[in-house]
Amino acid sequence: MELSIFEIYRQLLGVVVGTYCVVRVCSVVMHWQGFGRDGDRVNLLIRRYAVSLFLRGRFRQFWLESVQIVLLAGMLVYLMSQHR
Amino acid sequence: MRVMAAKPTPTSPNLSELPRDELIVYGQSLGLQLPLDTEKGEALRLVRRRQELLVELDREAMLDAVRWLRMPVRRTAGKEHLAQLIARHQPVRFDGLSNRGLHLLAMLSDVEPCAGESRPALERRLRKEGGWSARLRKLRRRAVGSFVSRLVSQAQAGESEYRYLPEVDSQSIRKDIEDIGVVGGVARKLRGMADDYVHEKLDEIERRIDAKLDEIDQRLGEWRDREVVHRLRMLKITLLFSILVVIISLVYDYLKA
Repeated sequence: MELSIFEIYRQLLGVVVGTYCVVRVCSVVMHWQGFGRDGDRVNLLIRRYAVSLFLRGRFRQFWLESVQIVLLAGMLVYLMSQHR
Repeated sequence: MRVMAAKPTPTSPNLSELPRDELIVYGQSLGLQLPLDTEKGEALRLVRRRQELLVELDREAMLDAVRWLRMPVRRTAGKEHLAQLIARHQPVRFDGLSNRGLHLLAMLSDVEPCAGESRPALERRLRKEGGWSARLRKLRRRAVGSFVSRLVSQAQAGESEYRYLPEVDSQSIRKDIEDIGVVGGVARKLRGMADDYVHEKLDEIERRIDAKLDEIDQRLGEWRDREVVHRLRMLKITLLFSILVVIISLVYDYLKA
């Protein structure tokens, strides 16, 4: 395999980001599982409130950011596809 | 229209000393449509204008409206209290309401009755007041009300005549003393007054707690929105950085080739 600075960068980035993602996702899943499992009344109320707070979110106000992110993601995929 | 003299009630707050949120809640209790982010000066101006309107309104017309809404009230209740009772309702039908009561509802809803305007036209304007969301909410309530009324129609054979709450006066004390003696009569009267006072204070505390909970809820909502914006911004920056690296990589590949 040809050794280049970008190949090393990609491999390194894959290892670091992949490890970070796995650890982070496991941590978040465990945290939310613990939050959803406790059954006393206060936690139940807080859980319900958190769910209602999330559902009441007015996500239409973030449409501009969402469109920008979709465009940037599309541009990234296109540029990556241009690599030989 | 008969003009009554201004008579501040014992529970009227000093407006300029109230914090903004309590001023907004107070204005809403008088029937004003005040958003929670209204500036204090603007809220103060609107509340004062509403108080001036209350001074000009006919008290008998307000009693008409309260009687028609079948809210329990004493005949001697103040205008502010009557306005608060009326503001709790947004009726969609006005059958049985007197003309002066209808005009009063219109003025409290910021619908200025025109000279020579017919009653159906004024009712239509009152129904339209509040926009589409309010009309949809009223339609939903009407459907639910129709459904519930069918469920309980057996229990309600007919509406009885409206009766005011009993006044606290020397006649009722005399009747109590005649019925159950001096100590018992005075004790009953004191207990009734104490109960009224406690109920009023409990209502006030409940209103304040509700206002604070609303404020906490609003702040948590703002925090949620800020958090979403922050996360989206971080994602955007990450994508921009990735695109930059991909472009450099492309240029490098091109130069190497």
